Amino acid sequence: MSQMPLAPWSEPFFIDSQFALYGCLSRALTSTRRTAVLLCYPWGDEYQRFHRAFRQLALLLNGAGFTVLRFDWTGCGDSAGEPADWTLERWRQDALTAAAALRERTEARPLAVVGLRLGATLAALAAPALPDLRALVLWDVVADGAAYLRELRKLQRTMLARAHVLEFPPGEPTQEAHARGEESLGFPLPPRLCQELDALRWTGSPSVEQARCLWITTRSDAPPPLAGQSAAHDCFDLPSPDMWVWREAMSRTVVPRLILERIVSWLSEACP
Amino acid sequence: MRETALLTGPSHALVAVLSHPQAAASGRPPPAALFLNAGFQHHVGPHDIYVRLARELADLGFLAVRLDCSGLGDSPARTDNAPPEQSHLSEARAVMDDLAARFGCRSFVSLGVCSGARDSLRLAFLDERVRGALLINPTEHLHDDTALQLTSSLRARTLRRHYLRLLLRSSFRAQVLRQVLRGDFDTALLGQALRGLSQALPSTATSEGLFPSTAAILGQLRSLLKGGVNVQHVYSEGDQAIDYFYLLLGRHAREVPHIVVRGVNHTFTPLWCRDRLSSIVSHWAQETLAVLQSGREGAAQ
Repeated sequence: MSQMPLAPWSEPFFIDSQFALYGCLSRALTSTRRTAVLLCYPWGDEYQRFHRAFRQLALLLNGAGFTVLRFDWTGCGDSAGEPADWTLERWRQDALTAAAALRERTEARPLAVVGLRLGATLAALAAPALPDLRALVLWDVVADGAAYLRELRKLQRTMLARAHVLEFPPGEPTQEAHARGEESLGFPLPPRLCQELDALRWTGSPSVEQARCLWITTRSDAPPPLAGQSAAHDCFDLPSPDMWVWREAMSRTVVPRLILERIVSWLSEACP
Repeated sequence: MRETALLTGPSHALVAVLSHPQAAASGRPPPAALFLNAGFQHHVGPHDIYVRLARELADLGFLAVRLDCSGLGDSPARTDNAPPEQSHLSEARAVMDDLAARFGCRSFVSLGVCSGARDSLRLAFLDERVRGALLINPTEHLHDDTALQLTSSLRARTLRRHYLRLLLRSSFRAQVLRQVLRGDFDTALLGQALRGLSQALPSTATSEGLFPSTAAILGQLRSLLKGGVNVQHVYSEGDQAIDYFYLLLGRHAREVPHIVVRGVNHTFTPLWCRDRLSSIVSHWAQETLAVLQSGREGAAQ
């Protein structure tokens, strides 16, 4: 096998679970910190657009001495499972499973969790069950599931109006077409998930308060940090409306360097 | 379905996810299907389409491999500044060597969307172990795309043809007309298309960059097809890649197997589009398997 000059690499593996979860571990480059970091991807189109950003974030964290695990939710990316398996509880369990796998591969150590959008919500929901959680980064957390669902539906309408694509196959009877079910930007929206999202109102939890928390908001609809508890939280506001506009392009990945660097410097200070 | 993750390729540093076929009754090693990155997308492909297709190909008997080339997805970047147009091909070949060593794979097919399709064709040109290539919305693969002036001119002409076709004879006429009336279009792209009107088309007959000229590429393509390599182009009606294909090949387009899927965009976004793509890929894969099978039997006789 020939050699080539490469930057440090990752260790891909499948985590044993009810559904095999795909994970990618990247180890600290410098003197290792005690805290390992779990990254929780967003869902659907946002997962695709921000995957590269998460990979870059992992590299930056590795450079700052953190070992990092990224993983795909059940039925998403490379992980096993089908859309019919998508529930918030299933995904919350995935976060716990991934955290356990991270500890197992890096020996027991304190944990920090970074989540984006629905990934931030799931990280926050899993947080009370995560022992020795030192820090939590909630990046544009989805606190109002109904609003999130409305946005997903609106983005689908925008895509259909702008992309050169038909909503239904040419010649297919409308009844059959509608029987296919709801979708948003290339991902199905199964009824059970929609019901759960519709009912989702995340307002924080006591366990989260025990960890230091960084709120990152780039959207105008971002929720305020937990009312009355802001002393325990740090906030970083960087309005970036363009980041959330749907565009059809293969190169539409998003790597917001400023935010990534802020996360790394905050975690470095919070988890020495 | 059994799936595993692998570090493979040069220095065993590239990330790949494998969907394994059921063990063949014949005990023969499976052919491998190599999925190459679509643009900057990681190995799951646009809307996770590579995952679905890989699992379907594994069901048909392929060892399906979703690869991240260097600097993409979960794989590390190179530090030697090698041009990705070339390094990705050498990396893919190193992965093929590794799959041959680990799993005994002797024949391969390659497939991809957009730049992954372009790389798939170039891989088939380079390596005779590749017996099939499914090219989904490839563009800039039929000329030397490292020749910058030529590429720029072709892009502008492709865009001009694209917008005219969408407006005059496509499934999207009404939609495009509404967009025009609303002024809802990408002015930068429109400007590029208009600039194309005033530019002379540089010759496609010579190569100034890394890759051969159009005539040479067409010759290579003919040789592949004649040699039984199952090269299939798949184009979306809503994508400009089909305009590039017709613009460059003209009357020769009919010599090159291609399918145009009506009502579909570049990345096959709605679920029904991916159902269509899945049937096309499945048909192509079964055809290729049949050819591989008959080749083996022929060799055995």
